[in-house]
Amino acid sequence: MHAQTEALESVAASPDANHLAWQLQQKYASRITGVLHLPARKGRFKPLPDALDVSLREALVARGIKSLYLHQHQAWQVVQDGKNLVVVTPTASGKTLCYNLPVLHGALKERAKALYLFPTKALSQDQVAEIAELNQAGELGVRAYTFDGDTPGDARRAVRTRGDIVVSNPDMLHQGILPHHTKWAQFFEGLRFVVIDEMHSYRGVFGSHMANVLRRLRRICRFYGADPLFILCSATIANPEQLAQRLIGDDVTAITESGAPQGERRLLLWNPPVINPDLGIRASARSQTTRIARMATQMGLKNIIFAHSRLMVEVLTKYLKDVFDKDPRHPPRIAAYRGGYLPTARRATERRLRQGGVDSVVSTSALELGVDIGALDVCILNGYPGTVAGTWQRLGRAGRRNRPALGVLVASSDPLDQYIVRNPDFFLDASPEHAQISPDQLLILLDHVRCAAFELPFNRGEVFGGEALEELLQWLQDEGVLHREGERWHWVTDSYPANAVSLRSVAEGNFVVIDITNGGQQVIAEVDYSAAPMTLYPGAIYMIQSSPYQVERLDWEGRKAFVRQTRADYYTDAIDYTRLKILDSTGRDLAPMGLVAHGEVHLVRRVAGYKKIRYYSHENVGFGKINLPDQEMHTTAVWWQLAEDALDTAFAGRQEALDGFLGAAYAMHHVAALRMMAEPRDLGRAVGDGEAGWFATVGPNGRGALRNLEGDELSVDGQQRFRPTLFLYDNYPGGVGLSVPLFDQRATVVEQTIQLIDQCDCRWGCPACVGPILASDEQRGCAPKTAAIRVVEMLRGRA
Amino acid sequence: MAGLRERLLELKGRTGAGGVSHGTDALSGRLSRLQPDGRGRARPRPADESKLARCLGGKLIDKGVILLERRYSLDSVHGKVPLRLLEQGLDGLPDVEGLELERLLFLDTETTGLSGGSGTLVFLLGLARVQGRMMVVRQYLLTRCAGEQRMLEVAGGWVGQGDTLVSYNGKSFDLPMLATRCRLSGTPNPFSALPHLDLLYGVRRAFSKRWRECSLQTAEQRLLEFFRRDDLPGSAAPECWRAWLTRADASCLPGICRHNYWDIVSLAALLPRLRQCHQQPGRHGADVLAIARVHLKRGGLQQALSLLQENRDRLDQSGLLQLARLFRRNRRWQEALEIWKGLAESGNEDAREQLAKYYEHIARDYQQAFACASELPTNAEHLYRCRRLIRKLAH
Repeated sequence: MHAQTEALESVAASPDANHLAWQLQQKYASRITGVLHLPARKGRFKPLPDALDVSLREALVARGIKSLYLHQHQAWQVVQDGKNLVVVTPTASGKTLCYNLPVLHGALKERAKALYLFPTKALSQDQVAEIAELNQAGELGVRAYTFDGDTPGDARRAVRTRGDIVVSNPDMLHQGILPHHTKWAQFFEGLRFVVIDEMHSYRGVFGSHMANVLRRLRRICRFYGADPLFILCSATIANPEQLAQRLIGDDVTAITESGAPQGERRLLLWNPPVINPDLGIRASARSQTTRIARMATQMGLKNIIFAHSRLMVEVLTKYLKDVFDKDPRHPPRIAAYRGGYLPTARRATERRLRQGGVDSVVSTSALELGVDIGALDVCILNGYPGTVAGTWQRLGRAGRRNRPALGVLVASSDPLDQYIVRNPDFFLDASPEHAQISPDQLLILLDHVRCAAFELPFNRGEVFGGEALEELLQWLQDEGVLHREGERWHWVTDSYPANAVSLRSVAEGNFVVIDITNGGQQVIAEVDYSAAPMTLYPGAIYMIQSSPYQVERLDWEGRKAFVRQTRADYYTDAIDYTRLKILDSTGRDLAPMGLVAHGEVHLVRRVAGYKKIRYYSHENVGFGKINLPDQEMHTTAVWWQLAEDALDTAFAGRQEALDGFLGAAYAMHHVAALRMMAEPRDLGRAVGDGEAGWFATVGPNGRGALRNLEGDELSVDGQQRFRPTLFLYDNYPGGVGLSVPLFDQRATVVEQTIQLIDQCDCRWGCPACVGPILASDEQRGCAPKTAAIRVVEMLRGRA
Repeated sequence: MAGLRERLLELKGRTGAGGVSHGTDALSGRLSRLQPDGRGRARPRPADESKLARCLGGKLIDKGVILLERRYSLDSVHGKVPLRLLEQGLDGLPDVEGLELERLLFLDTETTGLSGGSGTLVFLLGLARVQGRMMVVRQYLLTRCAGEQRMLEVAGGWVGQGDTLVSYNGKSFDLPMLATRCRLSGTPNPFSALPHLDLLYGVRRAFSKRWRECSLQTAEQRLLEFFRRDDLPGSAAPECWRAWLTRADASCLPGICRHNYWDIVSLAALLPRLRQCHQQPGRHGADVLAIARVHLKRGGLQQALSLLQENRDRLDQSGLLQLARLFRRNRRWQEALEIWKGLAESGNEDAREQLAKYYEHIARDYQQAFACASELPTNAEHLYRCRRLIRKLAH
């Protein structure tokens, strides 16, 4: 922890982020569509509370903390009043003291126990180190231990019986602590605080699981007579109070104003220049990002670049390393960071960042979380992260130590990006998204009722979640795992349910990447199940720190990919097809020209082949086939259909109508995501016939094409019936509750889609509205853009 | 944003719209669509606990708890072990001090799973103790989940405050399991403060180098020479009990009770046998060196020495070196030298090192010392020794 003083650090003589901002604004004024300037902010202080334990006060003073920021003082007050709390302040605002203060005070005064939950192990270790420092400074004698997969067996008992503060993560709580709660009896009996940091990361599927793990935790606490207070910390989202309340199932007070000082910040919104006006093609975001990063690095400014995908991280790192890391005798100045690298490698990168040995780090959102990586001056976002909240969180990585900081958001040709960068006020004024969770998602809830039943028998009349508990218990009885005796359901089988439930997704097992280059077998990375078909197919180029490896063999059942180092000068990009079949519609609305409905669908995703793309020139230098099992799932969706005769009247031929549907789907997907305040990847889109007879994709010639289940092309006009259906589906098995609100807002979504396409400056269509088009499309007669608008207007129907 | 369920109910309430094509309202309908898995409903049949008790030859002592009690004389033989060996005392075994035969409590359980955790329960708790000249075995069988608290109370009533528990792998499995069950049912744990002799450790120490694994059944066959006939494997226990609980199917309960009974009797017979192994390791093929080390740890240097000497022909190189070390501590140089020279000839480096040390510091024969030292592999320490010897030779 650094000393909290009111004086800002003096401006260094060497160039700082303001210089870079000035240079960029001079040289590239035409590319900058918006500027936000946040002046430096002074801190607001309050004295340390009187009631604070004396030795704790001394420890704080010894560490340079003589007063509290306003929000830290407020947090103390709320906790003293016995209320649950969520603190929502930016990075580096001293959030940890908001919970460490009351927890340490409680531990000293009445041996109160606390459980800290962090999403990752790295954060846990940081936290324990901080408490250890306070302990030493004041000889407090408070015992804080991490308890996770790395804790050795003989140390575990000590943690259970003697720990005052146990630092763990949701997965360990779920699999290692709750199912063995009797061993923790002493701990639970004295549990007074539960601290949950990085609350905003508990959203979507992960958040829904977390809410259920917390339900189980509270149930266990009740068994031991404890009723702990919850303290949560979050980055800025639109609904922190609501998310916190839904996670813990109880009322929460929110503190949203930060009293911490902050250095001056600038944000530039950057649109790459147009290089082909007719087709509306712009220079790639990648080219701009690389240029800005080079300037920053050459000026000696430490910078971080966020990219969307692991592939893009590798590509960007390679380009930057080609410039800055040419001499292998010098330590590398550029580092890549992403999930899939082994934990030891990531820890090493974090250390080098903290010590200042890395000038530029390229990362996915994996580095978004609060791991301390020292002071950075510049943050470049290669493409819009998808949410306003996510954007501000990433930008927050630059400028920790009261020095001026610069953020640049470089737009890609994605419709969302273009919308954001062309409507700077929308973004700059926009409130961050709502973080949504569905704790009563049926499959998730069932899994956790199963785990809870293992932990303690269920009694009639108990409540767990929002669905009818008894029916769920009956289901489990039929499954054979529970036995009902009178008013109680007992666990009677020999399985251990927590092992089969992964908190992050469909638990299908991660893949390991094994390097066989030198005749040995070394595990060098891990890839999760849903990403495997797209990145580990035989022939794929898989990159680590921009060193390419080629996948020689994939053992699907064994979850192993065998790779060998290669010197290929291209990278690979997979192509996937999705087909849907409607199972059941739970609601529908008949429009004059068709219908819109929502309900359950069955989805099959197949990765069919891949392209080989050469570096620098981006030519397509080859194509390969992929032969992997399909990924199937049941989920919820909303779909639109138009009557065949209506289409006949409106379009000259089926091909045009099909192109229109594809363009409309592209645009509506992005509008829907924006509207639902979800990330585009939470929703999937597809155009098919609803019976899984055919599905449509854009073929290599730029025109819509139909394929059947096997992937063979079908003739458009050769089909008897022609009822193209536009699907927007929840991209998670069982759905996550996006379909129903989307159905409710269908009129607005359709209307805004028309606006999006209409307002686009391009002539025939572009990636910012209906999707990329080819030069030949000008001669088509009916441009993709026109066709798409016509389809969407028909969907609007009456109005 | 309304939750999914409220939304569904609302939509279903609307007339006309929301034409549901197929599928039912019920939760199970939704679930079966998401997880299509054919499963039938188990039909519970009324369970007759007293009848079961009679079948098993036991007594229904309370709702949900059956007690099976058997007694046999200490004059009987289990496998090749006469049980009256128990009466000969228990000294000679490590960690056993002043144990009285009638204070030993033998324990073994059958559970619904191996994973530990609060979802596993003990459905059969077997205890045994010596009373007079009889071995009394009591098995408490749970016939319904609700009987657990009573079962633990009644079994606890048979535990004395000065008892010592004897088990096989009980330290890491049975006892923690029982502690969990007591905590969950709110009964005090009668086993918590008792000293515990877990025979697995002794067996492992003596036999892990020679046996592939050290399960109770292996020990039973190899040490007790007791071979079970038609035994139900322990792994079948969970399913057996579940069949009773859910379908009142008691067909394999007798087998499980008998399996547990044999486990306990073998446990009791193993105790004197293990004691013999510690006194005469040669008799049963036990690892002499390991047992000698046990004595050494307790300060029994002479016992260790005599043990190693008596079984000298069964010692491997490490065993011989240990014997030599003990000779050295007793200053019996000739005997130590004899071993070292023999081993050094076959190339044993430790022996050569010992010889070098002996010649240098005891015999002060630097020529010999150097001859031995120079045959040692070159590392910092040995180089230093050689240089030192050269200096001494020079004077």
